[in-house]
Amino acid sequence: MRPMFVAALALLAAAPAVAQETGGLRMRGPASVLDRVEQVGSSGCRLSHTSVTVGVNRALAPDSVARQGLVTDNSGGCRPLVSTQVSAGVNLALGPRSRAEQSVEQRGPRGLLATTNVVRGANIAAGARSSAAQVLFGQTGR
Amino acid sequence: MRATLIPAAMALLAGVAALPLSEASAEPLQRGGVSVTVGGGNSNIARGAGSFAGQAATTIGGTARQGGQVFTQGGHNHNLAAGRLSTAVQDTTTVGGTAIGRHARSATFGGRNNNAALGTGAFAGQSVTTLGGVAVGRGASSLVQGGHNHNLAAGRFSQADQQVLTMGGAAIGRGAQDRVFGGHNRNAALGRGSSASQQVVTIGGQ
Repeated sequence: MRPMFVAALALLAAAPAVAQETGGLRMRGPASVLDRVEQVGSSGCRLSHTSVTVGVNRALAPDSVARQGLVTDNSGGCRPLVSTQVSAGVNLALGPRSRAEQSVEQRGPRGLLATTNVVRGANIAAGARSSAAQVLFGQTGR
Repeated sequence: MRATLIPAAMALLAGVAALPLSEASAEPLQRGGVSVTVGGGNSNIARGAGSFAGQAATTIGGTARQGGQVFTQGGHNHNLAAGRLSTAVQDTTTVGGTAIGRHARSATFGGRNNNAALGTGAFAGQSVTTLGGVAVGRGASSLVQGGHNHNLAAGRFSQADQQVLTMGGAAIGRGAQDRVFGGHNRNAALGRGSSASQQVVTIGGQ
């Protein structure tokens, strides 16, 4: 009975270390990553590509009209090692009978190792009989 | 002492052999790229009297090969008609990405959306469509979550309509798994003369 108890204690002590190794995001092997880095470097492309687009569209005066279109397209050309795209749009119709229209469109390149694409919008019609319209489109290159 | 240590060592060896150490040490090149596409967390609010707010958000996931992971998040959206006789309409579409390779994983989240008509005579309409991604490979998995949505008509004579469509993706390969969740939705009409309608359709994996 006592040996089994000792063995159980030893197992409990070993378990957390295993959990730390298997949890989270597992990385690629160093050799594979180096191959990708050399591949990108020799092709003349950038290792990292980051794009941030923010648009604010406001219709403040009575009976005013505000229109805005945001298009971010980096899907063509080189494929970087890591690609990060962020787009955000704020569309406000604050004046009485005002009208605000906004379009946010984003296409990002696909990274060889990692791709992150974030699109977010806020659309508010606060004026009396105002109108606010917003279109959001986010697509990661395939 | 020796009689105590030897059985203990044997039991310890047997236990360690049973632990899943292979993922940590035996496969150093087992994971491919990561693709994260986030289009959710949007707000659509009609606050003024007689105002109108319309919003459409579309999120399309990317591709990861060599056993990579694809994460597509288009949920967590808010649609609110707070002003008197106001109208708020929101359309959310989330399409999962493609993960290829051994133990590849495609996860698509389009749920946890809120639709509320709080103003007197207000109307709030929300349409939520979530299409699962594709996972191809041995042990690949496709996960789709389009549920946990709330629909509320709290204003006097207000109306709230919500449509939730969740379609599973495809998991192809030996031991592949396809999981679809579209439940845990809430619908409530609390205001005097208010109306709340909710349609929920969940379709399994392809």
